[in-house]
Amino acid sequence: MIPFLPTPNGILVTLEPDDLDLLRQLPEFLAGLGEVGEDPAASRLEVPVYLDDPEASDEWWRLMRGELDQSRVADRSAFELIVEAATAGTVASTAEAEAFLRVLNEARLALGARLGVEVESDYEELAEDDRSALDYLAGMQGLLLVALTMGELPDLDN
Amino acid sequence: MTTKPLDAPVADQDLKKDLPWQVVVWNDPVNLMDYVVFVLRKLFGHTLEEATRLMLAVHNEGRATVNQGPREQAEMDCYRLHQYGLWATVEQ
Repeated sequence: MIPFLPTPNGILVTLEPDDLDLLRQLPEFLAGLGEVGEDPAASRLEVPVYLDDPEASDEWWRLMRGELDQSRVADRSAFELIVEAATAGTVASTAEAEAFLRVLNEARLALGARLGVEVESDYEELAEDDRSALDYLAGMQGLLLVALTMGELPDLDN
Repeated sequence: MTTKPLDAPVADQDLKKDLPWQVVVWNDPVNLMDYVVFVLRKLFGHTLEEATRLMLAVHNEGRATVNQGPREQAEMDCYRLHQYGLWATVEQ
């Protein structure tokens, strides 16, 4: 079964029980991350914005953190609704499908950081189970990206 | 003969004030190449070719400037990139 299919009304999401078991864990995993500076996953999701000016970076985060957190919480809610409706197949709007995409990506970033993936070669050193978890999420993300971009015509202006 | 007075020297700081702010995306071992292309097209309206060129610059050179403009706009672009999990910074 293809999990993500483009339709005229959005993306048809249909998930197998095994997918559901795994994907259901993601919002809770992301909501339960530790503190920046202590949990590498949390630190990866709050990187400095001004590399040469820690004060400006702190100020940016002070102003934007609340809004970004809210946006991430809203993405997780959309993700949960889609996952719960996806056994029978549910059509997600493009905006909802993009929220789903962001949650998949955030989960990969958080998991990758927890597993110590800092450069591409670290990936090869991972235990098989850890690597397959990252690969599984990447596979889902790739399929959703295909569905989201499938209906597009190639650029014709050059 | 009259000579035009020289313009007053301009301090480096004053020149810097007019420079646009750059939005920089950094290489990341986890983000997928296709995802980065998708995000750059979505947020900045780049063509597939331009978004792919920028993604490859990030991948091969470690970083690429994906947009530039006034500081407020650069900071907002940075916010939108962080929403998508891209590692974005602002610099002048």
